[in-house]
Amino acid sequence: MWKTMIERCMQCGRCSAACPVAPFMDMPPHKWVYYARNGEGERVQNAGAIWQCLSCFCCEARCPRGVKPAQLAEEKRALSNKVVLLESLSEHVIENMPQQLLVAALRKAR
Amino acid sequence: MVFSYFPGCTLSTTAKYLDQCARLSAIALGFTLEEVEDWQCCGAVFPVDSEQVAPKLAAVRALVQAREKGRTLVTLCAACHHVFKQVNHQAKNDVSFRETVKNYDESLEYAGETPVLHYMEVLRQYIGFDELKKRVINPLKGRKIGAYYGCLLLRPAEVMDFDDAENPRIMEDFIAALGALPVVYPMRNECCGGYRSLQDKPMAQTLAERVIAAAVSRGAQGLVTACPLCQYQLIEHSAGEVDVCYFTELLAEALGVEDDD
Amino acid sequence: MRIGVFVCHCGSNIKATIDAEYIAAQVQQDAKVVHAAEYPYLCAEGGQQKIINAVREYQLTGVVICACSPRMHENTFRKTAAKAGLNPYQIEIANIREQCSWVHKNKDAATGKALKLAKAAIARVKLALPLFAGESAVTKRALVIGGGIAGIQTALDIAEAGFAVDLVESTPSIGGKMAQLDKTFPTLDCAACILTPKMVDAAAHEKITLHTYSEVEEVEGFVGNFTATIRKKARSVDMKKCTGCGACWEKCPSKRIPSEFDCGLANRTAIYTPFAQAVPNVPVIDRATCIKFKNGRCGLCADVCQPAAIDFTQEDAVFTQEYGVIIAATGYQVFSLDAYGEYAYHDSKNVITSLELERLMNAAGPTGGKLQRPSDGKAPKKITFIQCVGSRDITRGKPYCSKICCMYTAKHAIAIKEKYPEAEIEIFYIDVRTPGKGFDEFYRRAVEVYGVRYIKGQVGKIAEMNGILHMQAVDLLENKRFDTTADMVVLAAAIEPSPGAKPLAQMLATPMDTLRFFSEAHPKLRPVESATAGIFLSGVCHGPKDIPETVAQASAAACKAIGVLAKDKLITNPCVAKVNDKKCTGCGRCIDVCPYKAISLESNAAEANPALCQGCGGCASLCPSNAMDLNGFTHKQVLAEVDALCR
Repeated sequence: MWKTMIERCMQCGRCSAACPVAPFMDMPPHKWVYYARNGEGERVQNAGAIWQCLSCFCCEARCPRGVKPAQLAEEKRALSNKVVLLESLSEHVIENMPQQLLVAALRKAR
Repeated sequence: MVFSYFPGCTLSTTAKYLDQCARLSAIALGFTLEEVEDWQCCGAVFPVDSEQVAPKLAAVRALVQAREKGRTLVTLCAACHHVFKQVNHQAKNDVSFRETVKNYDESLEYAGETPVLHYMEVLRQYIGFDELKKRVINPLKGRKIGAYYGCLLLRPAEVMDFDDAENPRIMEDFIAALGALPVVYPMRNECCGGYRSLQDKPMAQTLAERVIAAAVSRGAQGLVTACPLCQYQLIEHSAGEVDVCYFTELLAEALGVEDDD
Repeated sequence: MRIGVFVCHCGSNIKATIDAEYIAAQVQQDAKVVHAAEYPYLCAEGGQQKIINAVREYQLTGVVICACSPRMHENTFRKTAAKAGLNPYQIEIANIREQCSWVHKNKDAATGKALKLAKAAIARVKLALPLFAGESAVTKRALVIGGGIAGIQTALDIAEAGFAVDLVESTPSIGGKMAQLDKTFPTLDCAACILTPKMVDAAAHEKITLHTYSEVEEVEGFVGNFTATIRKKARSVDMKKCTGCGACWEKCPSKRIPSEFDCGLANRTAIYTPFAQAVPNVPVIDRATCIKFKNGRCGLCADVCQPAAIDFTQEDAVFTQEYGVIIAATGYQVFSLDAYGEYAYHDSKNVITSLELERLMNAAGPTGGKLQRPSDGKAPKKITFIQCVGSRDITRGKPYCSKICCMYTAKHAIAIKEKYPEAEIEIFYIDVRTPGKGFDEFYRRAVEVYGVRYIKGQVGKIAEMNGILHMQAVDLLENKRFDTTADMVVLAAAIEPSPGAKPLAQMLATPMDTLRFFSEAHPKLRPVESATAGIFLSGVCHGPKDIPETVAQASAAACKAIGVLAKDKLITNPCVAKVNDKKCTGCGRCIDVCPYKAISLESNAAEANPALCQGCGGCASLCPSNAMDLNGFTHKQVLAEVDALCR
């Protein structure tokens, strides 16, 4: 199923245009799909961009071909051994911070 | 009318006041939120990688408990809501997911039977915004309030089934029912930065700022959110141009059931 | 019975998988098969001659051809049989290509199956009776449904060939979408200038009768003999008296109705003609918005009408007419952008569709041809165009490419730059599709001569804040995500068939695809004929196309229609239902099931009209008394075929 999803992509770029974080990324979402299709999945896995993905699903909502770049990013994160834990959590924690923020950040960043 | 209720970690602790407003408002409107007896944190995020099962078990447990009582499960937090609807969708459509869940715990035989609703959907579907308007004691007259949906309530649209993902109306209808003037502005369905704000404050700042700027450009004086994390983000990263509050606070105020402590 | 069996190789299409020699040898085991042979190409002249020679030499009384689908060459082989002196309905075709050699790989199994199919055909031909085609008359009149450029061109061509044409159009004037356009690509001709002469010709032609503000309600019959019921909606104006002076619409107090012709960018009155060059130039009262019809007060138009042409009591007029052919030319509409909230089309007045831009650019349009922002009337300094909104989209829109947008956007860019050389224009595209004559050169002019900036990329979100349109965009060739602003955004929205197309397809009993485009009989070889005999297709109702293609297709459809109208008689299909009135109990169940209304009850027995019957076999399979049978596919033949397959 996800293989054919990758093949449906016509490289229109709407996903990257819709992505709120793409301006900060080293590799925009449309490129993850392109590299995955060309068998260059490792380039995606090594990109910093997949750790910046917010899973807001704007890319999936606006893609005319039903491609899911957010899912691709998560799958690449799952394959990676990289662990982006904060060295010192206490520096970043602010009082009144909702704990779902901590839980979500640690879950996504693994 | 009784609904099974999943408060989630944040609404049970740091955002307890918002939960109280919800419960008091429910009583005033004639329905009860019965907390699920034995619940654990839903995980706050739904792993879109379909092979991950363990992080979804807490949600399945809560859904099964609601099913045993023949109830619909209601959540108040957009993040929990997203997790529950996604888990439900996967349980309905993915046979191998159901089987793996059973392997973890035999008692968890679940195929998406429990309906899941957000508190706002309960208002729309069971109470009706016209009826809500009649029960309002303190109409929020003259207040220009924008709705901030964020992303988790709306997308993916085919799973969340909450409203039109690009042009939603449910929260504006809610605001109008409370007597205020809903302000429609362009960025109301764009992400606030969410969980990334822990690690990347500048990015979260940019995202929150653009939401506020859009709301201000259309004349909004206040914003209403449905997720404690979005709420935190917008307050933390704005300069106080708009008053950000949670929808249950506003509801409680309009219904005259606020807790005065 | 002396049967001849011919097995075709079809080059290697059949031969590669099926042992033709084996089949030819095996079938001769049947005593009634006196000759069997195999050939490389039976449909070719040489092959056909061999069949004819064999019929004569072996005195064959029945022929079985094992070859491709009857849909390909049944007619060819029937003609061959006729040439050989055999009744054309005493041949049977066994499809050993589409249903055998093309779908199986195992040679032994395929050959075995082909042999069974041959034997089944032999069983049928043994019971085949000679059939004789009948004739039906042809009404020499054409009905063209839809009065845009396609319908107008088709009507003109048929009329020029000397046949009467009725042109039916649901809006008050002919002209269609082309009348709304400003300029046309690639010549930049003014659309109205090239269209209005044709509109006037259509109105003036002695052989063409216009029925505007009218709709087709029902169609019955078959090729050469259609009967259509048409409703002429009440205009509330007597067309014979009206001079088109315009005094009525000048005085009409109901002035705030969004004009359909101007895409809602300007208003019209309740009594109106849609545009200045309307044909016929006779207004219509929109009763839903007319004050007199709503609450009985007013009637100013009647007061000022010198020829006393206003008639508030006028009623719809319904008439029936016979036609030999019908041409569908129902055109298109721009599809709704409701599902694309991210482009802020409903949120911002300055985000418009390309058709709305045509109205703004048009000198006869809502702004007199001045390009102005709809929100504040200011001239836009920067205009952004976004292509493929809703096209090539399998999730929320249409899966197809709407074909005309790349060209019309280049046209818009050039037209704007001509009037406003200082304007900055950027176009976000996925591909630029310019397949026509002079098309690519036209687009390159936009880039190289007019300095229009084409960006390979897209826009993800549009937000209007403080009067400026802010956009999130991506440039794929720079591999850069960036933010940009504009004063006006034009969306190339997908086009889709008009809403009247689907009900029309049902009325005409003609197939339509799931996208509501009419289906052609064959996409390569029969593009202007529908699968239903006598119904032809003209214009975008068949599929997206630009004006040059539409006009070409309109003439082609006219040509096909003329091919029918020019005949005095049509040969009817003899494979029709036949009743054994001794068995018929008059239960009437066959009447209920016939989709062509071909059966009636005559003195307590059913009777099938061979001219209307299309040979579908529904009645024959349903008849509880076995009284109804189908010529060429009799119960006995079908059972013999099944029997042969089971042995």
